Amino acid sequence: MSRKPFYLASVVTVVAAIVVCAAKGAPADGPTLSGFQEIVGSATEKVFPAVVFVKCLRESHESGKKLSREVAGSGVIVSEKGELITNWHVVDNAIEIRCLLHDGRSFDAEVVGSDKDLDIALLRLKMPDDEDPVPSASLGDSSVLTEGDFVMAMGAPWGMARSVSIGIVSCTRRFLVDHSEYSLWLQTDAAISPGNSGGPLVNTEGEVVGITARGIMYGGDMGFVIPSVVIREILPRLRQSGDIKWAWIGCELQPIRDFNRNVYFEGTNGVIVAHVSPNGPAAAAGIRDGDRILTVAGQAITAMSEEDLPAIRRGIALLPIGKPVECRIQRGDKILSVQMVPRLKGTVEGDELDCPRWDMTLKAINQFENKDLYFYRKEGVFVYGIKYPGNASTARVRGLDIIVKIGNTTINGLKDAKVAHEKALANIKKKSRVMITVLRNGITHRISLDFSRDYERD
Amino acid sequence: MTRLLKWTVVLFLLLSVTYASAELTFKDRNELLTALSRHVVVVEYTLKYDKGKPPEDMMIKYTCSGCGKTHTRRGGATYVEQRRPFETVGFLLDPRTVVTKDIATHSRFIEKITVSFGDKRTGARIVEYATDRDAVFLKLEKSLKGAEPIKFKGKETEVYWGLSGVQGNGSWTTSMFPLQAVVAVDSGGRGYISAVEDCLVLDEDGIPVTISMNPELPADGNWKMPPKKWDTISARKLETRLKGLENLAESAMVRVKLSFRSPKQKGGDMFSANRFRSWGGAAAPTTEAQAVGVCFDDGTALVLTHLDAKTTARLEKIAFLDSEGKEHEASFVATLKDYGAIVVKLEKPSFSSVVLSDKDVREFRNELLLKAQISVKGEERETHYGRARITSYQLSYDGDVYPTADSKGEASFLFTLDGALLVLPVGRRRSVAFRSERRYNSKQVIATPAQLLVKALSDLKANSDPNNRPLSEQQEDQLAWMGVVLQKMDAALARSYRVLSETKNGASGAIVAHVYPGSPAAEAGIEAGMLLLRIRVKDQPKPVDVMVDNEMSTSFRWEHLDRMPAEYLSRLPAPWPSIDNTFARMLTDLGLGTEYTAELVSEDGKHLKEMKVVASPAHYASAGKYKSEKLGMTVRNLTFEVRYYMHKETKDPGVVVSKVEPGTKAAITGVKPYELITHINGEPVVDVTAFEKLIASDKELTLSVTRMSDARQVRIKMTETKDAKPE
Repeated sequence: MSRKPFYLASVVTVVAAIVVCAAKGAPADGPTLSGFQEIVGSATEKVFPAVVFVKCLRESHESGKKLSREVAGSGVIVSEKGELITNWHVVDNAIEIRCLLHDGRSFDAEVVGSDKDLDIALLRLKMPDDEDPVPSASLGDSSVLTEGDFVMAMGAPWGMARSVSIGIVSCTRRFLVDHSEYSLWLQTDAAISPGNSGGPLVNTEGEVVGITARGIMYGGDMGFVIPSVVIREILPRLRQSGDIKWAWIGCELQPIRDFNRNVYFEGTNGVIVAHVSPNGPAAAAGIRDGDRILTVAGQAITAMSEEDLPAIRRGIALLPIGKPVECRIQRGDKILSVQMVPRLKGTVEGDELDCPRWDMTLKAINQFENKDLYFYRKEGVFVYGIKYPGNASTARVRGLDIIVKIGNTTINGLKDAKVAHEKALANIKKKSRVMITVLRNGITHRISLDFSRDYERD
Repeated sequence: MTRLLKWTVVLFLLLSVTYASAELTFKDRNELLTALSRHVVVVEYTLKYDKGKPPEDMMIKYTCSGCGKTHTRRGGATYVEQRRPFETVGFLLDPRTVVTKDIATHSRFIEKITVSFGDKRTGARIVEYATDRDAVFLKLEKSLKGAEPIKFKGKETEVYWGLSGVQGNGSWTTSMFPLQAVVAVDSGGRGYISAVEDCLVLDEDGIPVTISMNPELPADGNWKMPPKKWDTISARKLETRLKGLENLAESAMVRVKLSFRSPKQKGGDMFSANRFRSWGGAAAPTTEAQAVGVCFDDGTALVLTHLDAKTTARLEKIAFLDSEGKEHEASFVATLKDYGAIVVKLEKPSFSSVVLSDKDVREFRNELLLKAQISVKGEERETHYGRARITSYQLSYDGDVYPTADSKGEASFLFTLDGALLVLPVGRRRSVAFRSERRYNSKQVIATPAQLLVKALSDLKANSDPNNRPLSEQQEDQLAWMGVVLQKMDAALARSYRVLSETKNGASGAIVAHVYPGSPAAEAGIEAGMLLLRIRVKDQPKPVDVMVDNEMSTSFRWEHLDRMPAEYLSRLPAPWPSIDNTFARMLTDLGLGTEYTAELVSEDGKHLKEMKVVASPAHYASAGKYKSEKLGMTVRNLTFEVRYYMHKETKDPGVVVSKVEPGTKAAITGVKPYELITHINGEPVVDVTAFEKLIASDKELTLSVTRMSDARQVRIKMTETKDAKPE
């Protein structure tokens, strides 16, 4: 922390030196350039051995059939015991995880904990007891980063392990619509490609300041990184219970100033309640759409702009579950105090089910993942993938159709669907057609699904 | 009288043995034929295109080698293409006069007429027309050496012979044959003898009696007079008549311009394959149409245009154009229910008038008629005047007798020689039950006897369609409803419902996907899941099949709204199923108040429900709306289908955003079409009137905007930012 200005200064001189020597067309003035290279080199040396190439066998139902696909990503080991951090989207639904270390050793790994909202997963290498310790990197402090700081992205872009690219921090507080529920992003121009996912972003001191999660495919000069401060905050929870156990109050927030939409509320404190879910804790506490929340559990909260929202949401989501908290809210000119009991958010993604022979896959409706479907049916399953060619596709079943009935059986969950599917297949010799009632765009629709044909036969 | 033909009892009286005449031996006949063939010449018509059109009005009668009967073939394009003249037989009356059949093609298609005898050839022109039989007289430029005029000296005999020239197997053959002396009497009491067209009639000794140009000879014996005694009209006189017709047509059969209110711009039905397709409707909504108007002496006029109810609803102005192009307004009176025509009243008498003949069209068989081809294409009124003959008739709608189509879809008006309009080209409206079939042909114009229109016009009340009329902008979207959301059938569903044959493999019928509470369907006990097969209506000749053209194929992707460029939003179809579909249009066309029986199928079997066509409550397209220029958006009242889609109870407040203009205040705050505005400054927005009141204040507004299960608060400053004036 105290050395920071020094590094910044040296970086400036290095840039100046490079510009100068480029202009002169002469070799660089020795000490400064090699100084920069030394810094980069030593940072790389510290973290590079801890970078892991992750290959997973993932189960996927997207294409209407249960498929196992191999995907590649990156990770970074953060403890000698073999704990490594990667993205949730690298290991989601993984049935097998193989890790290749920088030194050539390879181990299988298991998921210790993961969170979809933050796109973070904690894995543990399955090492034999007598195995030599593995190199690890330390998590730095991303909050001290400023725009212009040099950073390096490490990982396996396009599956090419042991790659490093360099760039600067382009933005320390990047808000991405629909992708900034609990955290802002670090934005960097270090080259990030698919395969970099889960890899570390490293500062010049050789500390991991973030985990690379997203890039922009075209241009290639924008990568988005989960800041290490957020990771440090939730890592113990992942370690302890395998998930974060977010609290949920059923309340959407909006900032006081929204430049993009030209919406401005008066005042400089609090956060505006955009919408209260009818059955959530906030509604139970009497909070209404349009209220302004001033404090939560005694702590003042203010969201002047949308960049302030993720931290507030994270703060609320980390409140103890089931314990009443006091909130002060403003409604018109009145200040009210309400008691709110946060609830466990629970799963944010529905389970999936393969329906062979029907040639489609189903998924349970989840309040957070399928908002529009949840609007029509709180419990149930929808068509997730349709195999082409296949029986469902021929019968013109569509993705996002909510299955209401199979034959005369009402379907309230994956279990019901599974039973109905198994029954139909057991009886296939006698009857190979079933009437399926779906909700499509909110309107009931009937489909006669003929599954007498076997599209898998070769 | 018109129905008599239907019940024609034709009496066949065999007068004599047809084929065996002992009087003339084969040798006699052969010699006779050689002598008589000197009277027979070949008339060649060299045809051409005119204004890009082939001589399609030409009627070619030929004897079919397959069935032995006479057929008529239309169109002379083949002759032009093959660079050969159309040839027919002619008979020499005097050294420079030939009688031949009337091919009735317009002179603009005739390049030249040549008459030949053996290798002798000469030019010719038409100088006279027979008025009561299918014949013309040609004047030859010079006489043909070797050809001999016919001397009609035959006597009354028992047996007659015919002689004619036929082109076959690549050469002209003159043949002689006994005439089939079959006598018939039709229901009108008209007796005739079957003959062969274009033949020289000989007595039993082979002496010429007369020439037969028609396939029938009147039984009264009057036919035996020689051609020189036929009633004729000279070419010059016909020209004068046609000139007179032209003058009449210029001032009494004029271009009419119909102007329509612009159709509403709407996103269309998201489920519909073709967003503009409607029941029997046009491909795209028109704003202007051109037609021919026929004026009568009482100030009324008939505009020959086939408009469906949906289009007529938008009709705003009817203007008759005089020869100088000046507009004369007319007011709408009625739409004929059976014919593609509307009756209008001219505000000031400015045009001449046409007399509709109320005579039986059959009386004019083979007679010379005047033909006016009048069509309006854009601002052009194209006219051609010529002659025509009706050679045959057919029974058609309601058992009425119609001329066998005069020419392919051409707008031809046929007048008698004394100037009465006998036949006019009018579209025939199909009953609702048949409209779904042969959709593409539904507006074809057919030659309709004026007598039928005289009848229709004499009792306009009984013969007009009260549902097909101009409507105000508010009424324009009014539709009949049953109160159901229908799902299109397919073969697999039809099989599950066991109605494969009844629905023609799932091509017709629809599944009731939803029944709106309080609707006629709900009251009749119709339930979701039933299959609506067809409806039976008293006046419809067959049960009306239920057809829906909308297919619910996709879900509305709300999450795409924010990513969509602003200019596309106005084209985005509404997420809810539109009420305006083929089924609703069909009910509307049947007319409010019509009683019908709905035929439904469910697992328990068939159900018949007695129902009545009633008007739908306000729906999205017809809902009360308010457009705020200040905000740049239009909102509509929540109607039943929107409430159902959005799960909103009748008591729930809200208006639905139907349009957002790009770049306006509303657009910048991210308000999107199909979102709801439920509250403004905390006050519930119950309808568009409340909305208008609540946004009237100059203060800052806070709108509660909801999108399905999401909501947000939107702040809009209503005060205009004034330009800072330099002090």
